[in-house]
Amino acid sequence: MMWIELAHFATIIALLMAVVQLMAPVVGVLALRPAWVRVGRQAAYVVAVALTLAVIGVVISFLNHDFSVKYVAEHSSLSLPFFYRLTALWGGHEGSLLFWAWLLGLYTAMAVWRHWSSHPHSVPVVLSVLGAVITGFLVLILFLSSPFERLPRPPMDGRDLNPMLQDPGMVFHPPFLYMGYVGFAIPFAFALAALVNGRITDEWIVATRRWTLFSWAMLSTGIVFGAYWAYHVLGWGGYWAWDPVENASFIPWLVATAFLHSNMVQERRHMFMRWNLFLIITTFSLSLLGTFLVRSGVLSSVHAFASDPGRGVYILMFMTVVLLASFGLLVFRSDRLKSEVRLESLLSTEAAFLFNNLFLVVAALTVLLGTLYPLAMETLGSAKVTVGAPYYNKVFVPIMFIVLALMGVGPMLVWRGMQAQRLLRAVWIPLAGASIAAGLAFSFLGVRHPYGIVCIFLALFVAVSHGLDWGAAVRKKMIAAKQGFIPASSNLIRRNKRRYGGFMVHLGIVVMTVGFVGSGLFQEEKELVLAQGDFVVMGDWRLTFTGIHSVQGSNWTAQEALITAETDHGKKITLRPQKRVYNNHPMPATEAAISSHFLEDIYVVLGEPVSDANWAFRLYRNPLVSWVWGGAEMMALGILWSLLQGRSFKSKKRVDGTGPALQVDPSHS
Amino acid sequence: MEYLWKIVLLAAVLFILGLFASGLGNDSRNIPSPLIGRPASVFHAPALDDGPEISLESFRGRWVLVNFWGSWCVSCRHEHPYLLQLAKNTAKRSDFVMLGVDFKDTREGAKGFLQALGDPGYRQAFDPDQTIAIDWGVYGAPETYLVDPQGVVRYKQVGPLFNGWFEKIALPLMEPKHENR
Amino acid sequence: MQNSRRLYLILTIFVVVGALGALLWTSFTGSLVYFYTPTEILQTGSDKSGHKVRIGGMVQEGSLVKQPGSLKMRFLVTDGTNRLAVTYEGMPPDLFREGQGVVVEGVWRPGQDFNAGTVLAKHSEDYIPVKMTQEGIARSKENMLRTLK
Repeated sequence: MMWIELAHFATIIALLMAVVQLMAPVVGVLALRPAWVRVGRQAAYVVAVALTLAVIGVVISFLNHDFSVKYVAEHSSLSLPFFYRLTALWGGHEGSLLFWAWLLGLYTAMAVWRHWSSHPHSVPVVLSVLGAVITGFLVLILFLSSPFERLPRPPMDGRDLNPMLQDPGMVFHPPFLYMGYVGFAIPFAFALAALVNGRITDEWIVATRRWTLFSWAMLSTGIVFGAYWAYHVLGWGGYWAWDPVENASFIPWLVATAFLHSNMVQERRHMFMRWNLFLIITTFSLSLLGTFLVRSGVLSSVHAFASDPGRGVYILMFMTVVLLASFGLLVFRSDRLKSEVRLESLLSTEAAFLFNNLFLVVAALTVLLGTLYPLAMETLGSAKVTVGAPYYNKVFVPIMFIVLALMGVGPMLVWRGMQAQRLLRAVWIPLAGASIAAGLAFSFLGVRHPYGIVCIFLALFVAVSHGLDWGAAVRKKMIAAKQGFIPASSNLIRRNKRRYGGFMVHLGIVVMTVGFVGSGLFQEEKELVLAQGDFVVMGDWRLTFTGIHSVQGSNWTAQEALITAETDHGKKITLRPQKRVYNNHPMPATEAAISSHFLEDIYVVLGEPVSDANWAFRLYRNPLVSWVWGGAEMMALGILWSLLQGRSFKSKKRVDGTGPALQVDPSHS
Repeated sequence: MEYLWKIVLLAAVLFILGLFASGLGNDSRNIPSPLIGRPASVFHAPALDDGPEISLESFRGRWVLVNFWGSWCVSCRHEHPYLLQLAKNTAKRSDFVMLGVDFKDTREGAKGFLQALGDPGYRQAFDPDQTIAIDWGVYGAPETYLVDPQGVVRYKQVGPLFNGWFEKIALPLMEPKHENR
Repeated sequence: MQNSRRLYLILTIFVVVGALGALLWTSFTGSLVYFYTPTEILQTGSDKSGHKVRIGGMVQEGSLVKQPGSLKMRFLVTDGTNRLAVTYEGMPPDLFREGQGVVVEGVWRPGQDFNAGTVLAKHSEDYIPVKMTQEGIARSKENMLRTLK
């Protein structure tokens, strides 16, 4: 019964310890008393443990159906399935914030534990920075947005989790997204440490490389889960609507992707130092913004932000402090890095990365502009506007095509520069292959839309250029080590996990892009009324409405239609779209029936009865949607593979360092 | 050139922060009520405390603050201390009276609320089936209306009243009218 | 040599950014959809004639008429002051019903019924529970109105 008080108490302890974590290292460094820094470290461990207890306390309150806890009463009910009770923690604003703070606590403890002896100069600042962020969150949680509040008159039953959140996609979407958002706090803190210490070397990049990769992977996965959820739950046949809430997670992803590439340039060539600092600070700031905005709904409407004026003002102040402090440090301290290495040639890997960064950041800006423009218009004056999908299709998609083209050229380039002839010799095969494919698509598949043609061209271009590069490397290995094809290629992939993991990610993105364009351009939609026995033809499919009956779930009842889908080749499936009514919610919820195939999805939404035996249906044939999910899986596998790369890479690159003299950490062995 | 990026960067950061700040201030929850500037819809309703029936018309000639609340409403809890204080501070004014409307509620619930948090002492109408609230176009609780001596709605506050609300918002509306008369 | 490379680089970046800016500007102006309440659009009159607009308000209680056997419907969208007749053919979203907030999108033709191509009932975070309805309804109505904008 007292779990929530335990959680509350643990959070108070965590706040006190977070303040210690923030202050003690400062004292330690200023007074040259290393013991104080150690105090900060212990405080960070206590924060992690205390927040873990807090999260456990809230989760147990959910499991125990303790409706005297306001947060539980608002986000759970007696009939809520166990799985959703376990995860209802992030079903609302208050719990999500606690979850965020908990993740940050854990990450901080891990980072301190891992980097304590290897980065003695950075760790104190890292402790302070992360302590400050956690403090900011815990103050918000404890004073303005508490999940620990008790109700004086507890209801008999809770009001249940929002039915739309009762879906596996939504169970995984927030935690992955947050693992990504929060993960960027670590490289962010290391970057600030570099700025504060005035030791802007490559140390922070190297130290946080895996944090960056990990966070990027989590953020990507989280975004895909969100899209998957939208596709399955919202019932409009699509998965991405350029909704402000979606954009809020996508903008940091774009910037993080730029950072992921440009930090390689710094690692190898000691260039883009300032730029990298800028990117990681921006990524983390946008992550913070994303966290707050999504939950408070500022972006879709300013008004919700102010739903609790105190909370809004506090969040704004917190953001202001974080942004001004970090960007201020960047502006006033980054002059310490003097010798930037200059770009030697436009035909080099670093130049490709430069342009990749340029376009990714511009892409992020276009999305940001589209997202904030309505807010600006409303604030500055009068009109309320929405910026819809057409804007993003016109602006964002072409920019992404350029990024894809750069991705295709990437493997052919070498660091520092190369002869134009050599590049031309390498580029013509993929170019030719891509052109042939695009031509075939134009003449035989009847693809007419320019985006379709360009997409097929680029997909093939990237795939062939990556394949050729890999093939050449395997051949070299086979000759050098006198091995067969399979041992050689497996050796190669194992030896250079980072490179080939990256290739896998690239191919995943290509597959996803094909999915995006396919489902975006060739979707077929029908909205009609069917009586039992009626059929409708979608592509190769003949869909027959065979019956309707009621079904019962643990906390809902539904009308379920039976649709038999058949093809000429004898494939036969039954689709069961539902119209659900949850016990505690009067609003019906649509449960679309989706049948996924390699080339297309059949997606059926049940509407309302129009008359006795006639029901309204909305049907979609969505080509290539499964490619989007498949590509995302490839991407996740690729990044996991990259993460397995040990530290060997780092020691190798020291040798060819041509940049400014490295200030190698003395304690770094 | 060297300083340009710094200025641009800081300006951009400040701009975005400013945008949010003004978005915050520009609290568009003040949905302009179609009732403002129009006669408030009159009502006769039972009192929460089983006293005589309450009628809005009986307050003609005085400014009336009508506060819609319910014991189920969390924000009302936060608002309550201010109402207590306001009732105490304005008790001596002859031109101003406060009135509560407890809607969609049960008598026990509402009485429990007042017992627990303090009874401000002004009259409370009881509106269990929300008829007054619907007539007045109440979207949520708490909502507070300021009705002038002629029975015309002059102001609508969506969400809790805040400290200093009376001085900042009600008085300026009330005073010029005095001078006119 | 070094310098001319740098010049090329700067020029390239300049051209690219310029082209992107132009692209941005041209697409932006064409892709904005303005949002009005019935009162606002009726005042605007013919200014926005032929433009795609969004109109938000509440579906007036008792105004929804469905044509039997088809997906055609007609309803009034009100902001409390003015009303606008809207026709729509298709499946409305789950949350669409009388007395609830709605946003309709379509081409504005003064003097005619507003023919909506899209009907949106914005889902608000706060769902309406049966047992705690009082606050729920009020809150979600309020949120609905707010998110409409």
